[in-house]
Amino acid sequence: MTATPTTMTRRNFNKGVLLSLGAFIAGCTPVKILFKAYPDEFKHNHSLQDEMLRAFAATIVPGVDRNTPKLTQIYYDEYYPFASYVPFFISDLDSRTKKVFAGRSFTSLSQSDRERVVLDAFRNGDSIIQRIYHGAIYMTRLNIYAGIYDDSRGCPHINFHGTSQNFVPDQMYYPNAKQYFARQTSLSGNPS
Amino acid sequence: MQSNTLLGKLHFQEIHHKTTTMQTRRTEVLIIGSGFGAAAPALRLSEAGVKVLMIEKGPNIIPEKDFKMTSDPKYFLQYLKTTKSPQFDMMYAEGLGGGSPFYEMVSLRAPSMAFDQRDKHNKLFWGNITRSVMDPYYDLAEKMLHVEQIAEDEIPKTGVVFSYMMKRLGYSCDRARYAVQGCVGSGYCISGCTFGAKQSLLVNYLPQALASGTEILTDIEASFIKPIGFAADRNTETDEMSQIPYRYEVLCKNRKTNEEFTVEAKCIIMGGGTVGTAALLMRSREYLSFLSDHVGKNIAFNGSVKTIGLLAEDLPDADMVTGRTHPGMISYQFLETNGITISAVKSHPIHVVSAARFWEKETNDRPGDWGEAGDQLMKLYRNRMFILYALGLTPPLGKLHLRSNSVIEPELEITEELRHYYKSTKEILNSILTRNGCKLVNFAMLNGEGEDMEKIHFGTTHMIGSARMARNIGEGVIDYNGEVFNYPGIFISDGAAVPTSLAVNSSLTILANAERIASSLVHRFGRKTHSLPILSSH
Ligand SMILES: Cc1cc2nc3c(=O)[nH]c(=O)nc-3n(C[C@H](O)[C@H](O)[C@H](O)COP(=O)(O)OP(=O)(O)OC[C@H]3O[C@@H](n4cnc5c(N)ncnc54)[C@H](O)[C@@H]3O)c2cc1C
Ligand code: SF4
Repeated sequence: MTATPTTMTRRNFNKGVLLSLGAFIAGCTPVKILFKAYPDEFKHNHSLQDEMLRAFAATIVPGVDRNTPKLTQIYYDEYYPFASYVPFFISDLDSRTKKVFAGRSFTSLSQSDRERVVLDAFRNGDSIIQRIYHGAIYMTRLNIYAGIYDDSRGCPHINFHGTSQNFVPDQMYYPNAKQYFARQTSLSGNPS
Repeated sequence: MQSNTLLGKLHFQEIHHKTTTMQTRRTEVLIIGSGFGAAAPALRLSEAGVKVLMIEKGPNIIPEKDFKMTSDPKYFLQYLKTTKSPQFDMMYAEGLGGGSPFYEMVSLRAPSMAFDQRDKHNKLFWGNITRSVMDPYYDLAEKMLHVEQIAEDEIPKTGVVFSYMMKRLGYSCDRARYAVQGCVGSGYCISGCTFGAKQSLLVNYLPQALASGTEILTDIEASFIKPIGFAADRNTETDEMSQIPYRYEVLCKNRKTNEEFTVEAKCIIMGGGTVGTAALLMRSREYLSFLSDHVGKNIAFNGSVKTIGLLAEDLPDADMVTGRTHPGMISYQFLETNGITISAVKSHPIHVVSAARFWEKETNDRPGDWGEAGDQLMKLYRNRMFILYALGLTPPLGKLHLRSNSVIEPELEITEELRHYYKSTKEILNSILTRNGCKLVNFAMLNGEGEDMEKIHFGTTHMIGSARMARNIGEGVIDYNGEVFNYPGIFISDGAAVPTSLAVNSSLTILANAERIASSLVHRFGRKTHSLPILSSH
């Protein structure tokens, strides 16, 4: 489905966003919406997009290194319907920052001020904006904490080793585990 | 065993190509699906000399080539499917071997209490089938899957901490049982074991069925079942396979090429799983108009309730990452009093972050599930966050609705009884944590858009009963030997047949019940006899 705000009723748009974000994990065919009512710079200026998305990722997961490779890949990944909202999302982030912090840019703000901008979207944005921000937060956490684009790396930030480390039994199990065992109801693990 | 698997590989692929030129084909028995419920009858009937064709809608799986240690959602979504509503969701796998390549290998017998459950007329859901009737079939299933109790020195740290918490409260906790051999504890069980340790159906039933003569086609979906001729033609007086006419035709579709073809069969065994079997029956209702009204209803779901906490300082570290995916311990302490069993959750970040958001305390006007507060909590995820969950004997209240030929939606009415179950179970879980000095963490389950689901929400991989066994058509869809009421020669042997919640993971019971049904089929149609007891009529 392709549509612009002029050819689309609000109800239709709502439905479109719902379906397409729903498809993110449900795995159905993504419904694509091209929403074009935002300044051109957010469509074509990829380094601006990238900088803002890195700042957004660091807002949601403050401990993450902004230079982490593939930090923004999930937002552009066309497997997920969010990719079609990136310019719209960035333009909203920008205009919201300007409104809350009198003309400043999102990337120049401190962590707590960037958090305030995101909160503003939940407090003052309509249901579509809230959906998009919910989706963006969700994808950010998935991408970073689960390390979905680099299985060998995992997420060092939360000590998730990914596939890179082979653990020896002493690291995996307590050698003296038996002392912690509760009484068992059966010998086999299968009480009658 | 290894050579069987290799033989299987070659054969699955070779046969797949042949379907492209096929219009109509005939088989004595058509088995739909390749999971736990399908694999046992395939093996037993082909061993007994019956001509068996098995079709699986999902892709072929060659563990060495297809499995990956990964957290990539795209990989999981190839195989794992979910059907959701705000109160209820069910997850299952589509691929050769059904749920078995991706399951956590927990293989427990359902306790006697599960078989003793009664309906509102005080009649036993399971009829004459008790735990002791099932035990020989459980034995057989366990032997086939090499199920063993986890060794004391292989219990993941999370399981040890769980057992210790139960010990401190004077409660019991048992070492659980698994279908695994030579586990190296990589923790990637849900993405499929790349170490050849998991005893999925890909290394036992399916290669053995193939070696006994079962033909297996992957990427082939059964779209509709239609009777051939008049009802009288289907009611044969004989169990001699050669004299039974081809009674049913099944329209099949190759999901790779979209090519359609028909299979004519004397008998059909449905093993598409609780969702797949119900969906196929509902799609076929136009042709099978005398089916029971119970199709797609009475879904039992093992009422899973969870709670999250942060470990008290005097408790040793747990570990969400190392060791097998299930933590190795299960407590039956509250089975008799509350109808629940309790375990801990052990999970890679992908499975928890995609399913829930959590926060320790509300900060100003928002929950702290992201930003500084959320990040601090995630740093505790691996070793200090602790998730408990209960499985329970909840009533069979789930339903499925067919919205179109391919869209199926679940429904669950949250009744007063369920509300009470949820609340009392949650209180037990919370009290285990708090009485051990742990701090509770708030959480909400998420839909696929990152938004909260209903507060009382049941998510399950243990759905059963959508075409349940019963005494008569007024109470269920099939008799206790698996045969569909009014449609002689159609059998159901998967999770759809199992009539009640089990309070433990479902696969071993589904497999044992499928062995039991297969045993009666072999007795009726086989060219050799089988040694295990057959249930008499009910
Ligand atoms: C991630 C995960 C972890 C789990 N862990 C455990 C565990 O540790 N222990 C446990 O006991 N249980 C576990 N389960 C549950 C267990 O896997 C299921 O209970 C079990 O697989 C159900 O068996 P089944 O035979 O009913 O159906 P399935 O195993 O689901 O098999 C049904 C098969 O039929 C195919 N099919 C459906 N419709 C059609 C059609 N129309 N035509 C052709 N083919 C069709 C499907 O593609 C599927 O492959 C887990 C499940 C999941 C998803
Ligand atoms: S933990 Fe064990 S069973 Fe699971 S994937 Fe690793 S080796 Fe295989």
